[in-house]
Amino acid sequence: MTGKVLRKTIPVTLPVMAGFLSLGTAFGILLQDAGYGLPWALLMSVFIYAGSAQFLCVELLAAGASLSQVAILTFLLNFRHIFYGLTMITRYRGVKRKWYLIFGLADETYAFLSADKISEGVEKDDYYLAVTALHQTYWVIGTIIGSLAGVLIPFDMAGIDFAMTALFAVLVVEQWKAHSTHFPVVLGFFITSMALLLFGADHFLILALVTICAVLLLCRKRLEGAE
Amino acid sequence: MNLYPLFVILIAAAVIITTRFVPFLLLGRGEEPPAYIVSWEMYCRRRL
Repeated sequence: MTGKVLRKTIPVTLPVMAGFLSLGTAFGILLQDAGYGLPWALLMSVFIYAGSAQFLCVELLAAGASLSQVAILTFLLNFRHIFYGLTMITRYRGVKRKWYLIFGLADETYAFLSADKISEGVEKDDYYLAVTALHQTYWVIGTIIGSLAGVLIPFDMAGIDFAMTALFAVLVVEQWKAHSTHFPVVLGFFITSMALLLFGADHFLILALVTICAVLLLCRKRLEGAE
Repeated sequence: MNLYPLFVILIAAAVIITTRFVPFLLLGRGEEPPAYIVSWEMYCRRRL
């Protein structure tokens, strides 16, 4: 990757930089507060590199969840990545450093690369690599800042863990705006609330997710027609 | 040394890496992508 490629790519990735630095910092602070310092934070941001899954891991580590729970919940939270990959097969065919590009296909990176807006004067391979690597770099830098800030500055942690709730609230609003039918959002809210009431905070999540998936699959044709 | 956090990270990383690589390992070797990928692409792009 040359300096010219970076000069052309950094400006277009600035919005993601703002989001990743702030969310990465929140993650680093939360992990530090849970008793896991910079090495653990780096390990997670380098090898997991999935924001929502990493926030989930903080909760699971704090709760001492079983390893099977870790696997199931991580899969349920991130199985959308399978569909991202499906749509990138053609774009990544024959591209250099393909294995890193696939590993680094986070939500924002997918949104970026699937828009096919390659910076002028930059080769496709270099653009893909630069965007993917810059996005992960922003995330890792945010994590380092958060982890160090958690040690150096005494924080009142009340409310910091709301960062993840806020992120998902934004995703719900985006889904609400992007689709003509609001059935999935209402269904998700209703079933999750019912499951929480019926089964309690320790057991509601997987039951709610499975029920939501089942109902959405049953209503699939009708929903696709409404779109 | 408590290895529990290391196992949590390894399992989470393995699951994430699997979800990202599976489509390429299963479908990425052919000359042309299956037709339904086009509709999945439109679906995913609308959601983002």
